[in-house]
Parts: sequence; C-alpha cells; structure tokens
Amino acid sequence: MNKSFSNPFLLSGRRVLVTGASSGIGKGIAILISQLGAEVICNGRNEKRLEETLINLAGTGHATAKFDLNDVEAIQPWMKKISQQHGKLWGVVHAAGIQQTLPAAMVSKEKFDQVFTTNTKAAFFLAKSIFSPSIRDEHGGSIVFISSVMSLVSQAAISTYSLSKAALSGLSKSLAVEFAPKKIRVNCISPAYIMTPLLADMTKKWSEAQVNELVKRHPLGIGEIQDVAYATAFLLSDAARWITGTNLVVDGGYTAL
Amino acid sequence: MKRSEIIPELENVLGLEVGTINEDANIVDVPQWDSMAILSFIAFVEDQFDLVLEGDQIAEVKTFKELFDLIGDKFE
Repeated sequence: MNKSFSNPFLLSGRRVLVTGASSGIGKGIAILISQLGAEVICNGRNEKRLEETLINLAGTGHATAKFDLNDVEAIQPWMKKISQQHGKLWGVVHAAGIQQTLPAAMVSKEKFDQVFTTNTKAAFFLAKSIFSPSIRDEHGGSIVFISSVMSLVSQAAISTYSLSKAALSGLSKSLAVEFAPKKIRVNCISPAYIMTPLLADMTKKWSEAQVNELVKRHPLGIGEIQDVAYATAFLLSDAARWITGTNLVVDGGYTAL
Repeated sequence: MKRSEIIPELENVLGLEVGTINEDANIVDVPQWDSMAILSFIAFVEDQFDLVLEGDQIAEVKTFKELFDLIGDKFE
C-alpha cells in the first residue's frame, strides 16, 4: 500500500501578504515562508529595502507592495489591487509595528495615535479587508498578528505599546469567531525580546548593566528572528488547521519566570 | 526650553515633589531619581531637544549639573 505523505507544514500554492517585510521579523518571515513554498507579497514603506527582501526569497511568484499602512482607509482598495494583480490572498501577517518608550506623563494624543494606528488599527483593517470575497482565497486562510509578550505582561514607560499589542488579543478572538465559517483563522504570536534592528535601537539608550539584566530574564536567552518565523509559518499552515483565536507565546521562557 | 526651566519641567513629568531636584545635588543622594526616572529623562531629552542620550553617558555623571551639561548648547 502506497501512502504518500502530504506535508501539512508546507505553504505551496498559498499567497501571503507580509507587512513590515523590509526588515527584522517581517523580513525573516517572508524569507522562511517563501522557502516553504508560499508566494509572498512584501509590504513596507521603503522600496529599496523591500527589493533587498525580494531577492532573498526562494522560488517565484513574489512581489513587493510598497504602502503606508497608516492610511487605514486605503488598505482595502490596496489589497484588492494586489489580489487583482497577483491572485487571491491566503494569509496576511502583520509584522509591521513601532515601539515607543515614553513615560505616560509624556504621551500626547499624537504619540498615542502613532503607535495605535500602525500596531493596531492597521491590523484591524488588514484583517477586515482579507475577509472580502474579492481578496481572500476561497479555500480559507490564516491571519497572524505579530504581537508581543508585552500584551500579557509589561513594564514602565511602554503603556502605548503594551496597549496596542494587548488590543490585538481581543481583536483576534472576535475575528476568529466571526471568520471561522469562511475557514479563516486568526491568531497572535507574542515574542519576547528578539535580536533585531528595532531592539538594537531601543537598547542603545540603556546601560550595559540594563542590557545584561534583560538577557537574564529569558531562561533560553534572547530570541532570534527565526524563532518567530517558524511559529508564523506553523500558524499559516494546515498543520494549524484547528488553531484559532489564540496567542502563541514564543518567548524563551520570559513569561514563565 | 531654557536651562532654568528644566527642573520644574522634569519634576512635573516625573511626578516628583517641587524641590526634589537641584543642580548641586549628587544624583545618588536623591532616591526618587531611580531607573525609571533615568529612562524618563532620556525620553524627555529626546522629545524636547531632539538629542539621544545613552545609558552609559548618564551612568557617568555625579551631579544634576553634570547631567544637564549633557544637553549643553541644545538649551535655548
């Protein structure tokens, strides 16, 4: 008897939009899922850096799609155009996001809106758009929000950031229920500290002692981009067929401490 | 912002009682100036003076006078 194994972890024939694909976690995700067979639409605001991501992708059928997600009302028309040009979308990974270290006393409406719009509002409108029949793959789909352990625990001076990520948890649960009839799953991934340009920028302001203190808070050490990419690929795949409305913590043990 | 204005501004933003900070004081003698205050100070300076101070620079100064000297000619 010949039973061929069909690998549920592969993403062949799946078209996925990845935001924040010009660097860090988004770039790492785009590369890994291309290696697993996905066709990747790389979004960011810097065309040159998007092109650099593009040339590192495996396989064919990929494209760049430069767009500023802060223009939330234009997200759906933009995604519709992508769908018309390249084909229907299976998934969207919202890896674009900004960090903000600011004591609450210093948060103005503008500063609040900056973080909330990119991290949370854009996530909402990306998810809402992919639900449209003219955009989504008829077989189903998977939406992944790259959140943060700061959606579950927090620290001083990151109130807007924590808020923006915790909001994704609530959003993903409701959408998970609402989109289930169309077999679209919605999940969050909550990484702890990952070595990326964003983190390097943040810790520039810290003393060496503070940086060492941070590393010690991760039983398995600081994370790498691949750690988040593997988890994302899993949630995008059929191996996660029955997983929706959850927050996958990928944190080297940070929240276990 | 003028140098003469920074102390009241900081006390306000950090939620400290008026008079907590004065230029001649040694930083270590002011317990309310903790790691949170340092982080806030860095964010404050970046926001108000467009200047990014680093943790190591701050760790080296002893008095508030030396701390504000780091802002130097960025004051009005």
